[in-house]
Amino acid sequence: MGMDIGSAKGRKQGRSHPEMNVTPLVDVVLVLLIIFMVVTPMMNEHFWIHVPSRATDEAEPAPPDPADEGPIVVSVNAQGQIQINRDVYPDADFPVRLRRMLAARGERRVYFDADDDAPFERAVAALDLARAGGAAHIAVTTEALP
Amino acid sequence: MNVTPLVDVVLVLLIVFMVVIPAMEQGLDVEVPAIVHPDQRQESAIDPFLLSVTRDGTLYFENTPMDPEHLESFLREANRREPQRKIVLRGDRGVHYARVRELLHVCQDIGFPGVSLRVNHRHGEAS
Repeated sequence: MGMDIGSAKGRKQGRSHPEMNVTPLVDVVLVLLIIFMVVTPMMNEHFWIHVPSRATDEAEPAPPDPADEGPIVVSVNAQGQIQINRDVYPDADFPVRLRRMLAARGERRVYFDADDDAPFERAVAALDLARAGGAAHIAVTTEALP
Repeated sequence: MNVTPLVDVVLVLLIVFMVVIPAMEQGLDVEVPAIVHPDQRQESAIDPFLLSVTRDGTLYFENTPMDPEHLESFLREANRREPQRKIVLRGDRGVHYARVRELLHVCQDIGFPGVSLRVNHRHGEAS
């Protein structure tokens, strides 16, 4: 209230009560908040996988186990480690190794399976890293690999 | 008249409803895995079927709980009615892969034109 005394003279003439109008600010901030709250749950993305259809199933070669020049089989074991043809690779090395193996074979097709007890999260992480490693065509087997 | 508190209250109510309504629709507790390279294309005009698996393995088809025994016949019927619709599998990140493989097998048997996994986009880590 000390300020009033000092400015009393000017106040009398202008009758100005400095008061900040925060309504537009609050409006804008809350609308932004709403927009983000609505948009964030919609950021669900998809990861399309190839599940061979029944009709062509017999035509496609069944992915055999680690044969040397056989197809590349990416799998996840029960501990959640990523494997290429049964060899475990750390997550950081896996895309690089896969890219090399794909380049060596001149193809971009990869078969995928995971252990029964592997968490789905790790399986999806492996699919993600396989894509990072250049696998354009990921065929997910629907029978457990031996 | 000071309308700021009014605006505050109204907008907060609006926010609360906007948050609660989708939560009521989705209803189930499915935390999908997050990945760095999801598919960019969103070309499909047709809404795909949505099949969800919660962490404890309960199945939901379009947010209605599903008996695992009836799932196959139910999906077959859905596919017969609308053969062009694809299917999206929304699995919780903690669900055992055996469950997912089983469902993929069912989808394969029925012959959906496409199968995808619902994921979240994780930003930041470039490959």
